[in-house]
Amino acid sequence: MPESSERGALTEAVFFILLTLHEPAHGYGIMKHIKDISNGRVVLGSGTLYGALNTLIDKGWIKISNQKSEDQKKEYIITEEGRKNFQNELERLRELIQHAVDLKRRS
Amino acid sequence: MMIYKVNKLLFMDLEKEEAWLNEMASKGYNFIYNYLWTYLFEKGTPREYVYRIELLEHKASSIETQSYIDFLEETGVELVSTSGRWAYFRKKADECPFELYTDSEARISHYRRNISFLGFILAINLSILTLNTLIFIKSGNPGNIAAGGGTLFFAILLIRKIFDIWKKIKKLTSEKQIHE
Repeated sequence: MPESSERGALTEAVFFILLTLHEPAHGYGIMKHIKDISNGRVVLGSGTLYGALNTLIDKGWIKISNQKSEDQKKEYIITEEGRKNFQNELERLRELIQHAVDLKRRS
Repeated sequence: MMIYKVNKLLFMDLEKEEAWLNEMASKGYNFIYNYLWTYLFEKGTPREYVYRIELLEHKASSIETQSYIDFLEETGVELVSTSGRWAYFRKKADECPFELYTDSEARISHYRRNISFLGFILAINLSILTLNTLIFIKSGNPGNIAAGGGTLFFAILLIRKIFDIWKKIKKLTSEKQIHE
């Protein structure tokens, strides 16, 4: 049983960030990727993305994947812990969808 | 070509100030610097930039703010000017709409910072008002009535602004119960 604080739904921003960071990416790359795969529906604000990335680093769900030098942009990647939480979320979403599908089938 | 414009009392309403800068930018006047109520614009191409103003969480000179600004710059956002804790950002207008915050949690905490700022000004203002009242009672100097009247008027404006922002926070909070 996961801890209560980690049982809730992920925010859309966090979900898309974890999804994107299965491959290393830098800030602008994350924003662009999320915008592309959501067909322009989800455009994260720079400040929102910055806050979310820092929170995820603090929680150990993602980490910085490259050694930052002066002229290099920071890149981020998902950690084992992040993968585990992402997987839990997928199962939660699957369960939700299943309920909706069952309902539609009955009616 | 540069032009100066003076805009009083705008600092009390971040959204109005932001709308004004964007309106100027849509006419081709790009904001580049401000000091208190004076704003400096540079003539450029209309609709080249979108502006956003933020009341920073940390001091403008702090490491936290520097790392935040570095990150924003990587995403194509440019810091134009800072004035105290106020930061003026802009981004070239492209197919992506420019917003700093797209989640209600961050929007609410930005509004809260805004209220603390206005509350601070209000506290100073009310102490000046009290001082003027006390001096007037003691000395009967009519100058203190005029000064007191001014501060009272300003205090009412501030309270109205704080109330407006508080209503916005309430609206966002109630929306949060349904949507993220």
